[in-house]
Amino acid sequence: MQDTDLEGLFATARAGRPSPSAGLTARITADADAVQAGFKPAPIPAGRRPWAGWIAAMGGHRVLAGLATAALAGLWLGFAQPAPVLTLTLTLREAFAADAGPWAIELIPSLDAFGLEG
Amino acid sequence: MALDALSDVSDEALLVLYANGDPWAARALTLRLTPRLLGFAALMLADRTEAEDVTQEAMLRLWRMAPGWQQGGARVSTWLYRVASNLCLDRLRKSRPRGLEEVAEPEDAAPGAVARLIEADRMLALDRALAALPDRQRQAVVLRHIEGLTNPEIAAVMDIGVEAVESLVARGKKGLTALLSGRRAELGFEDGD
Repeated sequence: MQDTDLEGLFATARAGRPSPSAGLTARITADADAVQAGFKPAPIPAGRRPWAGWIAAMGGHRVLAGLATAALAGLWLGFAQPAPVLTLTLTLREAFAADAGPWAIELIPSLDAFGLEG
Repeated sequence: MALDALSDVSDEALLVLYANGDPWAARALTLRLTPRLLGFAALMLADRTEAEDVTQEAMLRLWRMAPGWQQGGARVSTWLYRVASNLCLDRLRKSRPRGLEEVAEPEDAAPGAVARLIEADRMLALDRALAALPDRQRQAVVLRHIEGLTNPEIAAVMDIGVEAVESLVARGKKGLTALLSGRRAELGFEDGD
């Protein structure tokens, strides 16, 4: 047996590799599908979140928090109508209902006492 | 991504695609790697059923480690040969030592097909001679001369130095030559084959 003969045997072995059966291939791909089904999607890094650029453009999280607070405060004022605002609204409504000119409207009636004392 | 489109994609990239949920990547890797793995295991174990079990187990370990695969590290094929080698060696250690005559006879070749008979005789002779080698020599010879790995790749698979690989391959080939001496004519090598 010479080296060239041995190489001939190796070549025969390379050419005669057994082919995987359909059953083996099916078992392997079934394993692959089962394992893949258990993978959880990787979390997206903060820098790659689609809204990260928009938040940065608005000035960051602190600015956004301030904007949200101001918006909520405006909404509350609109619905709740605190007493001073309500008084002003009623005064204006009565004045216009009496067909008085805007010069006759007393926005601050309590100032009359100071006027009389001269 | 369809199977055809994956033919030019590297094993490592396919594994990343698989980990990211691509349904075709596993099929492409299976078609590409399974024949080599099965051939290696069959030569190591000389048993088709056990070789299939080793192949399936090695591929299963590949699927499981896919999400943690470090790109730029070992090649997928080298990693797989290493896993398959360890699985084969475990089975060889657990099984009783095999004699030369315990390697299964190949299935009958088609009548009249002389070339196939010679080929079958050569495969049987090589299988028996490989089975008679020490496990590590057999592993090194098969990886070098049949699977076509380089010595550094074999060193990575076997977790030894390149010089140790060269030594194992040289001793393995010397052993094969001694085991097959006197069978040259029987194996059809006298006609300048």
